[in-house]
Amino acid sequence: MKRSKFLFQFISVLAFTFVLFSCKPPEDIVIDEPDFVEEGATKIKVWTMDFEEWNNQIAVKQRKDFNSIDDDGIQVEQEFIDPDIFEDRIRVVRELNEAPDVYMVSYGNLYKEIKNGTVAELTNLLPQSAWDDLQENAKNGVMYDGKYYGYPQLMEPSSLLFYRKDLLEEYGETTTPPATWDELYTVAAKIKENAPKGTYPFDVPKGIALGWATWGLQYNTTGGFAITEDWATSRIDEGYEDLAMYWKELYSNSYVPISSGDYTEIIDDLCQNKLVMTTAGSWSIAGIINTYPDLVDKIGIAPIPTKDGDHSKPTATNGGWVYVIDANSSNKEEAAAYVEWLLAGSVDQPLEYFEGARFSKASPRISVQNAIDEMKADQDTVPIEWINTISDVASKAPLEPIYPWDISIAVSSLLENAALGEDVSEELSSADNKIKDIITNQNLANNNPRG
Amino acid sequence: MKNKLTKIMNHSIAYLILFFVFFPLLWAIISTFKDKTEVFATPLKLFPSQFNFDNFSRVFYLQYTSLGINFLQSLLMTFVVATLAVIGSLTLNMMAAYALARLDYKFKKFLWVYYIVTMFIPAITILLTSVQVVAQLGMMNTIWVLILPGLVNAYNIFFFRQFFYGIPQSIEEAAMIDGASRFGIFSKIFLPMSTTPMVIIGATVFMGYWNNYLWPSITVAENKNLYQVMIVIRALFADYRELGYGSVLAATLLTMIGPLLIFAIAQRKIVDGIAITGLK
Amino acid sequence: MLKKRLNEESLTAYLMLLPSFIMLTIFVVIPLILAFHRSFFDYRVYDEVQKFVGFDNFIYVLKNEVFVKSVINVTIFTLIITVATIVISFLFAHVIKQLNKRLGSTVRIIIYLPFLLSGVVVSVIFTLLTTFNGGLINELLKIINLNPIPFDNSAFWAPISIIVPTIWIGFGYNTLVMYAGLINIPKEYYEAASIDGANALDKLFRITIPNMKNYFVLLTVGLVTINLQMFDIPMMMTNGAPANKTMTPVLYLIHSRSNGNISDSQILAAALLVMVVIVTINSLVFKTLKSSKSMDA
Repeated sequence: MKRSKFLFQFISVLAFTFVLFSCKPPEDIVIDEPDFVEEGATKIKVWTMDFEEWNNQIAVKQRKDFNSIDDDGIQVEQEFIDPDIFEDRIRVVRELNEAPDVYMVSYGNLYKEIKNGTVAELTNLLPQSAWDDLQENAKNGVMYDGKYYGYPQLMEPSSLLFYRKDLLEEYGETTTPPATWDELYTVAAKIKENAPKGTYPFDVPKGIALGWATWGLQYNTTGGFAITEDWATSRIDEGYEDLAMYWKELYSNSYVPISSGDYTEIIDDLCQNKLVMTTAGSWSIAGIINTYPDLVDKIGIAPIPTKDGDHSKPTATNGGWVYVIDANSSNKEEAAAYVEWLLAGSVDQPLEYFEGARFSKASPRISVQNAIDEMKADQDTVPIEWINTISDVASKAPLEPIYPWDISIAVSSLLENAALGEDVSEELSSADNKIKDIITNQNLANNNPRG
Repeated sequence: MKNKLTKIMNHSIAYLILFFVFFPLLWAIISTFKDKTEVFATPLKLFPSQFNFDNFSRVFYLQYTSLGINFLQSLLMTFVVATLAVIGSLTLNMMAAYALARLDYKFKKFLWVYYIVTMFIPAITILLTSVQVVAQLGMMNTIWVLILPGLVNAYNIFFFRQFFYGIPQSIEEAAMIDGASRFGIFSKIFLPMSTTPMVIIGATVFMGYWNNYLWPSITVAENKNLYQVMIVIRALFADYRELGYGSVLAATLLTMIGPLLIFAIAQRKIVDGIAITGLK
Repeated sequence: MLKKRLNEESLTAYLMLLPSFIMLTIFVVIPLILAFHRSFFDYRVYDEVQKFVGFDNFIYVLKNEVFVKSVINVTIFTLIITVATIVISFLFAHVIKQLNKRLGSTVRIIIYLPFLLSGVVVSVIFTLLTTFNGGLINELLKIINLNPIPFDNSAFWAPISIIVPTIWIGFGYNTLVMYAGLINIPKEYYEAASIDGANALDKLFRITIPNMKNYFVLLTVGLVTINLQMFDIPMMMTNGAPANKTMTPVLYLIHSRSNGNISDSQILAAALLVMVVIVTINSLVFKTLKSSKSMDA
């Protein structure tokens, strides 16, 4: 009896606290007003990925802007989709013939959708000028067999070196970030000596991210990816041995923490003095500016350290998002009109997006990238050297490979096992065998759709 | 002397287990109020420098944002759905369990296997085809799609069946001599004797519905009035990259409203019911 | 007379089973049949005619190294979790039985609490403790000058950081059920055994364990079934790392679905194979723990 009384009080106090503290909305919350409604307009359903708050706010604003055009006969209904359930939702609505007209997929997944026949060909739905404006590597990412299947929104290099200028100078006694692995070892040893426990010299992608965020480094070290261009055979040769030894060196000397959080949030560790340098994706910039504005001046960005330090070679791969139109959509023309307005027409909408993204991504469009280059000098939120590094790395970066993910798992297992101290030559041959098995089982040889 | 030693040992084990269970929860609750940089601070920071309630109040304003979900309404709706589910689930599963445990008829063995095998199906196998079925029945975006598909659960039937086995035959035989029907025995004798398993399974069913995220978010996506509380809480989760772990933890704490409700309703039964069962 | 009673009994039984039978058939069995059917095709959602591929999907999945490895992983995890949970719950139920009423009831309330949380929430709670650089356990280790433990990236610790939270969720519930079974064993059994001169061990094996068989079967089958399908705690704690040593089949299928690694029909085939594993292991459990009461049905 006593206990239930206590419980009752506890719940009341909890409820009271809620009411008390929810009187005022948090400052950053954005109140949404209803859209302008155009009578008799064709409704198209658009799914936008529920990403960071800044991203969502721009997406909402641009939808409102589009809907307020009152003579185009198109009304957009937007829904934010939790990326965690996108795969379930999209399968369900396709099953029921209720798929949205427009949605987003990554460059890597576009091929999967094309193979499944779920996305519409866009070649003739968008004007030729829209395609002509695409940079060469972005064009390759959305074109299969000479046909276009999606319009790219952005390109972001998956691996850059972010470093703390202050900590590097204090613990590493240098102001230049390492360009080669040897330079990295030297400075990391020095940092380890000087830095307090809990501050590590460097960090690399781990877990799932190890599969994709090292594609750039794989390309740089070995001159290609894990399988040959024609997908006929494995490329696990000496180049991958170097990479595995590099991983072993980093871990056995504790230059990197053995375990760290999600790769997409690794920048938090850098900003909280847990790391002096780290590999991170370009999207981390927005996180620094929005959450740690005081650190903007203290952080530098460079291409990641590589075996030979030659930064004219690719050091990252480009990932990113592509807008597609569902193959079953009954309003493809209208859907294409929206995609054109949002991404492929005037530079205003893309520019608005890239500005909101703090220029942490590169544009797949030549004209937009030129406009960004003009714009970057006029703003002072984002250090200009950051933007320059990103667009430089992005311009050299090949697109993410689209061979089956199991192959990337074989490579990441190789690196993980090297890090755990397993015998490298054994792991190399095991990875080689796994990849050859995958090629046989999935009949990949000579079937590279980009080839 | 020996008794005292046993008592001390029992007590220390009990306190040890209590610590093992309670401490992670306590640490999570403390961390809820921490600022983004404090949650994983090194060196360790035991307590937050100031209590931050923004992560909680955020949830009440979601209805004004582009998400447009009303937290209080979803709370109420989830409560209604889960309560109906508990009632329906207990009724259906206990009836089936009684028939499978105590009655004699043709195909009994077949039916038992038919029921139990459904327990072994990984959810991912039938997710899409289930949606096809409920869509055929016209249940998408209605309250029925939330309640009905999970009602009959082979594990719960199994649970009651095992429990009913423990009830002595003699009780049934005595009632039969008094002229009671089989159904009468079930409702007048077995039901009242089953308060403990009813509370255990009832709480489990309630929390299963309360914690459900994937099913509601794919079947009632177009009816915001039916949104379940986990959808709202996951919407808070989604922002954690920017808002930090505090927002995740705040969301976590909010999910505990469910267990607290259960406790308010059922705690005496959980505690005393089990002690009193004394069946034999 | 007897015949009439039997008829009446059958009728009652069918009526009592009817609603659950119908619902189970609609919401579980029909979807299962549809899924089974689909696993023999190369399914493409927008195609009018689907391409029949026979057992190709199943064969392909069985050749998939990561999937096979994940099945082995999860079987080992399940074995450890099940045995540990059953033993701990059984012993702790004895402890609770001997506690005084007040402490006993407090303990019973609190140990049940984790069972009401979802796997995702539990993972968040444990991440606070196990994070390598900044987690509570490692910060405490640093204070006493020990090396931090890489919970999610070590061949030894990664399985533990999945197994411990899983046991944490379930053991309170299992203890309560064990406890309910324990107090239902009539005192007279023990008294009679004492008179016969039985020691504590005799009583345990001759009275307690045989009388709790129903509960052992129930809890073991429950633990085996749910843990062979586990994915949310592994996803949040290690996500398969390191080198797929903590990959579980369902987690692998979830990954594959988003990265298009294997096709949707192959995923269905793989999930059905997981079901075969679950059924096989559970029939072994039934056979081993077979008691006249639980299997005569």
